[in-house]
Amino acid sequence: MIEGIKSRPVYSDLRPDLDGSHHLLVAEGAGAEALVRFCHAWDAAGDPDADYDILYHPDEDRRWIGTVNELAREAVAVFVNRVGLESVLARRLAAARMGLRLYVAGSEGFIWRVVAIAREAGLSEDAIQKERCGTQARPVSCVHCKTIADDVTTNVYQCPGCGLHVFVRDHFSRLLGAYQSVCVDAENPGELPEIEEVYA
Amino acid sequence: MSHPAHIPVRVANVETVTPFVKTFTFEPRNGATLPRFSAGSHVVVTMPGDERPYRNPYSLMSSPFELDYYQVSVRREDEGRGGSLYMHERVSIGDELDISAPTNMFALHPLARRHLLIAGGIGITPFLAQLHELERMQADYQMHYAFRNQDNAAFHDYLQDHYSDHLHCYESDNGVTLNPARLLADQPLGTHLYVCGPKGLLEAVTDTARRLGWPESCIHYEEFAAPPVGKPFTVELAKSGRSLEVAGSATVLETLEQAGLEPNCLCRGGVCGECETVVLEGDIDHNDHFLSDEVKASNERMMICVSRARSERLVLDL
Repeated sequence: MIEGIKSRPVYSDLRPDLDGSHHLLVAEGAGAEALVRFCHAWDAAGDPDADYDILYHPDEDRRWIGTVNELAREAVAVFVNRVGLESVLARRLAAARMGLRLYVAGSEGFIWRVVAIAREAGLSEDAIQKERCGTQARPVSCVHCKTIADDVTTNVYQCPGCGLHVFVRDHFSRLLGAYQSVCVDAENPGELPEIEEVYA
Repeated sequence: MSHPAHIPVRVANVETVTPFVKTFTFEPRNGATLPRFSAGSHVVVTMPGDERPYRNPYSLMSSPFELDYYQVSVRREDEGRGGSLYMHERVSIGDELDISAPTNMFALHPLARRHLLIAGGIGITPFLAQLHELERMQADYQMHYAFRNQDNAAFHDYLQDHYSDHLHCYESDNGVTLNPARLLADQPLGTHLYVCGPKGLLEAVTDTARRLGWPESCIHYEEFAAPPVGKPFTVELAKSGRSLEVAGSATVLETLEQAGLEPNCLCRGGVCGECETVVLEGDIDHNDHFLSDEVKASNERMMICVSRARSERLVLDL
């Protein structure tokens, strides 16, 4: 990674923000880890008058389902697919009032999908906490054809849109919710650097 | 800079709006149009006082889409340092004044889904410009206007005529007061709050918003601090080795300017942060809205446009 790139997102552990008046947690896969930690922190320090809701999509990582259900909150909703979670999230946000805090945990691709839905609903970014859990895989937008590839784990990949071999940069677009990638063999077509798993 | 720091203007009209408020219309003296501005901007008006010039910030209230003239409204402050009295008693049609280029520290947020405007008394002026912009944007907005009585309700009839669908008035002498908690507890996501008016209203509204969990990025307010009259003291400038006497009715900034110095400054009302200065020695009486409480308590920095020294001696890193 290159130092000093200000666009690269910063993630931190989810913590109950007691300034908020309503709290909504949204997680996918290994993001369940963050849910468990959040709930313990809430029980230790939380506001007894306030409550929170959880929307969870296990994705392929089903080993967390038991743990999430054990959080024993009536407020936990588990979804069989991301689309279902996203549509319920959008409905909840459309009805939400100022004072809401949103907490998101999961892969970067998931986090920025949720942020985009929240932004669409008018939520400002300082009301959102984000924690990256599990995979380091990146959502990446090809600067040539704008195709977004989810879950890229290598330094170079072949763009599913235009077929170019593109290099994953650290520059991040908050609007697209994706890193940027550029053609890696423009000077000498076919001459590729060694492809490594760097975002596993 | 594309526009000169000072714009020469002529007073084209003076209108008495209430027993306490006059509206001044400024036209450019050189025949050109005035610089464009965004709603919420203010200008600093320079008045040639007898002993020293007065320089006060006033919000532009005219339409941002009208560049042949600017309008500001001035509330007469009999207890103030004299700037507003000068505007009320000595400025008349045909007079020539200098104003600064417009600066905006109170802009409408372009991503807001709803704009909730709350004015107290003369705090209505920046909103008059913003209402033009909101209408043009066809935005979702509400204008809440609190005042003591009709004598203090500048532009009430104008607002009623043009914005009645969006206007909510609170006349406290009639027992009608604005309840910030009731207003702020039930607003949809994406609402931005804008408050301008006296300190009491401003604090009540912004404190309530924070208590209800409104994110800081959605809370906007503006209150120009009027520099208070205080005890005289000596200011020493560590870098240049100069020592100057600050009179009770003058500010540090004005004293430095009178001595021919040109410290950084913009709003002259403790809002913009431009004149933040490192304090090497001295106990500060802070009057600004810019520095955080921690910084104020540390006595290490001050805004020289509105804050004074409590101590007899003040040493600045200038």
